Amino acid sequence: MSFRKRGDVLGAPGARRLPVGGQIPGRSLGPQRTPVTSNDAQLADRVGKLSMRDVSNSKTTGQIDSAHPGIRPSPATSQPSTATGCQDLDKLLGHMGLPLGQTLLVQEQSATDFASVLVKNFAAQGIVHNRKGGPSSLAAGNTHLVVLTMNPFFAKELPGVYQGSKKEAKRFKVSSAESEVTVQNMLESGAAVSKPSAAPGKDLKIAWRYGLKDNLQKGALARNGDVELETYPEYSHTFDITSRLVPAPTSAEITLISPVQPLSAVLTQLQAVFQKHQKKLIRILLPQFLHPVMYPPKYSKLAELLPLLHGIRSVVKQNAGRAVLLASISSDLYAHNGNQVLTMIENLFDSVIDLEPFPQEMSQFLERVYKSQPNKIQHGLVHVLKLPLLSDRGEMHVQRSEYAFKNGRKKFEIEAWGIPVDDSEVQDSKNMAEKPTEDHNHTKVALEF
Amino acid sequence: MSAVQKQELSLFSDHSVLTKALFQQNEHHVIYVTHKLGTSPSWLMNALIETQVFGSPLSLNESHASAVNHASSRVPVQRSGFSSNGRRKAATIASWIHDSEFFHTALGKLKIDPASYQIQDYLTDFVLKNHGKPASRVLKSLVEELTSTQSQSDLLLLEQPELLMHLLNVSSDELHLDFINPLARAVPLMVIVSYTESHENPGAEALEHLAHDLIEQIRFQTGCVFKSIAVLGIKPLATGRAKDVTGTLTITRGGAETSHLAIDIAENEYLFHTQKDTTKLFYR
Amino acid sequence: MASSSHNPSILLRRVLALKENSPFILVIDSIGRSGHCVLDEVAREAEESTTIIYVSFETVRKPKYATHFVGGCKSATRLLTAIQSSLPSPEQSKFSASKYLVVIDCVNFIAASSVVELITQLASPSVTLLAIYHKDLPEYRLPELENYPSSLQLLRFMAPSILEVRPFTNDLAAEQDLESRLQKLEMPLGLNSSIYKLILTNRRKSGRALTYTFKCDSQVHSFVPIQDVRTTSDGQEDSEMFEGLTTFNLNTSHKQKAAKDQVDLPFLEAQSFNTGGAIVYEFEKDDDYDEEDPYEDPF
Repeated sequence: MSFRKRGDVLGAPGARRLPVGGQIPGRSLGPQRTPVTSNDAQLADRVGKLSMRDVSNSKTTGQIDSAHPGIRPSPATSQPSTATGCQDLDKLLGHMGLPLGQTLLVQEQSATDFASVLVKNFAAQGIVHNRKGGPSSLAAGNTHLVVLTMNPFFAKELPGVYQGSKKEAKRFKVSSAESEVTVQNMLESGAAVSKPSAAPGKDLKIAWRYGLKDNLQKGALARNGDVELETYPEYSHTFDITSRLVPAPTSAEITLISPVQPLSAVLTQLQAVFQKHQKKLIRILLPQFLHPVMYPPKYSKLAELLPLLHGIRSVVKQNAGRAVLLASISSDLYAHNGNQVLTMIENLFDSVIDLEPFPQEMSQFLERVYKSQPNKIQHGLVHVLKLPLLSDRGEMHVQRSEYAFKNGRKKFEIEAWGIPVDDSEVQDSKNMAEKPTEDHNHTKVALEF
Repeated sequence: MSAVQKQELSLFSDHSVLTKALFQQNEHHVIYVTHKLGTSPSWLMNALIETQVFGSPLSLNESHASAVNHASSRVPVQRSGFSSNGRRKAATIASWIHDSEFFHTALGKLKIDPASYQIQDYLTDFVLKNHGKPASRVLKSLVEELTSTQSQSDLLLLEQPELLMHLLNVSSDELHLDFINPLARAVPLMVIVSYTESHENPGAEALEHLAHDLIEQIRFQTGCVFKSIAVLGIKPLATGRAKDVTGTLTITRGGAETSHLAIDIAENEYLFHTQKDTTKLFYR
Repeated sequence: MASSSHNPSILLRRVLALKENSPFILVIDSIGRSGHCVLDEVAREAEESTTIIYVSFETVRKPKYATHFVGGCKSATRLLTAIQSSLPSPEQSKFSASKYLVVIDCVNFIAASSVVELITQLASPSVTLLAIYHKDLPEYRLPELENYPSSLQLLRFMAPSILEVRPFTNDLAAEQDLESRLQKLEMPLGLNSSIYKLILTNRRKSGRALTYTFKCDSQVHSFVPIQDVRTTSDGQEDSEMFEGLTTFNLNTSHKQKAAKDQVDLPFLEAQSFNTGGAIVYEFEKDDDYDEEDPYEDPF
């Protein structure tokens, strides 16, 4: 196998993976990547009695290039999954990504727009995957983005890959130039690939990005995350929301469809994308669904919006091997009447998370508590309502107020939520018990929340 | 976990899941399954189909591995009448929320032969095919489609037919009269599965003003309760997520008269735990 | 008639046997206890010769007692012709002695605007109409009929006999708990059981209504009147409450109680208010009312 790969460009992900792991076939050439029959038995073993049906599933995913950089098997179900562009969200979903053929709805309470960060990262991640195939594949590509929006500038607003702080960025430029030289040399010498030491040069690009540079050189790859990085180096990226993706995606990479058209027009256009971009992963985005600026009032009728979602769901499921969908909605607008509209919408999605930004008092409380560590301040709660695949087969995954999110320049982080201890409060109660300050009241409100 | 007493699922007082009395000549019954956010009913639907195929829900309460091991030794129950030519199906599933692949995968894991059931996939392209057409005609053709395939099986599972109200823009009454009723009268046993998360009914005597959509939804779902001989409700624990319990399954009598049946509904409340494609039931 | 009104059980049996002079019987039920149990009782009590026309909006299988089984439809006029084809013409009915019973298993399907017409067309001395109304089905009201009464109000108004079935609960708390669960369609155990509560409201010719509550068992077909629990228990509580409290006798004898109840207090109107006390003031011609004086405002 390594012989066959030797001719490949060193930058191609498949080639890079080879020198790393010892147990190559099982790992990097997972069943979803190469549906070779002999692999099936192995797979069934490893995955733990998957059904015949599951294996045959890989037939449909086979449409995609088996070495797609943005696809890896889910550790939970071994279903092929793709990165959402936010590592913590990938983790939260339980599959290290969004499994193909699944749909995700991000609800957001109040008028904030944190969900747009997830949406943009999701979009940018698709474009970055697409460009990882090398310049030659830019036209052909491995991923296509469909955005159901009326915002014509969507493509221009995508964030670029995080380059580190300015100083680091400069150093990176130098080192990448160096590494390119090394790689070329090695290719010429012809003995490059079999030597493990050849890889690090190219590895730097990514490994460095995650602060792995030193580890790599020491050969210490013990941490699990590192191993995953090794196996799926181009799987997930970090995006800097203050930068822009350059060059902005073109019509070869992104298709914008207005959702406010006759239903059949929307659906046929959507299907046409799948026709046109065979063998590509199609990432569908439905940002700011039912936003009153974009959607006329009649879309609030269930008889109007459910057929649309049902139709989109149908298209995703039809192409379950190579489609994912991410939608976002401002839930406050539709929270009346016993949440009927929202419940019906949630019902048509495989997975749903709900962002609840903190109210003012809570933010103030956190700011006070984390006075010295401003980067620890969370911005809101993440409620999990449904998880892809797992909820559908009957598992209970409703987790309210168990996670919190914080949005930074380079990362949208989701972490376990716990109410921090207010040191000043502790002192207060020690020193002056006689004077119940207003702060006390504040804290209590916050705690209840 | 292992110390917990497992419990067999039974819906009827003769300890069966689907009693034979339901499948007598000219008998028609409806069973209603309700579920809420966090507790998808797929395991229960699978168990019902499995019961039709093998005579009992074999995979319930088993660990996944042993379920698969036993699967090879499972022998489908001989169906009366058509069994010789093998054309009689154990069940027909019509779903408006899942495609056929979903069921093939789930039932395949239970080693149920795809030839023993039939799936009507009303998710794929349903809107594209039917949007804008007169609702009464669509409903009529759906009934024809389902009754024609239905003539070959005893159990018809409808998953979320309430979506039809919005997909075709029909009222609950129309859906009941033109779709549910004719189907129920054509099939020995029909199981309707509904998502009742947003059900909040103040009752007809309440003066609260309800949204039209909510009225229609409540009318449909309440109507289903009145039609059915048994209601199987699954919901998560009121206390939220737990490590070893997914939720509760409550079996109650429905509104339909059962005095003609010699067998009563076995009312019961189970706790259940679903994990990795296996579901275990145990005592509360 | 006079004697039956004093014995609730006999009155109920007469209603169920269709012997009471009421051409329209309304059965109100809920998902907690469906009204089919009443249909069974009626079919059992009624004379053998009664022709039962069963109009089904939701019943899947034809009940044994039904002579004709008519499928329900949305249009009231079509429904009417379908039913009337099984009924005798008015001339015939004058001469025939046999009784007819039309059962509508879910009258909710008929819109409020046409329900009155349906009742008046069907109900007659020889034809009894029995309709089940599910009180948990909310009703959509057309904006143009905003002021028109709801179906339930209309039916209650029209029906000489109303039978309301409820699941049997021991106390008020259990009842409220049950209701709050049913609102969310979370069905508790023990619904639709053979033991249920039946509230009979029977109107006399004058329109005065008598209400009785029964505890019923559909397996042995027994109907036991339930005394008004509140008054009896109240009396007991009173006497217990004062026991050992003081050396005085604070208890009231039954005779005293009866006398107390008969005292007419002034301003009966005020006593009917639900919220505590209120001032009832009637302006008399001699009253000196000064609009300028803020302190004199009697209201």
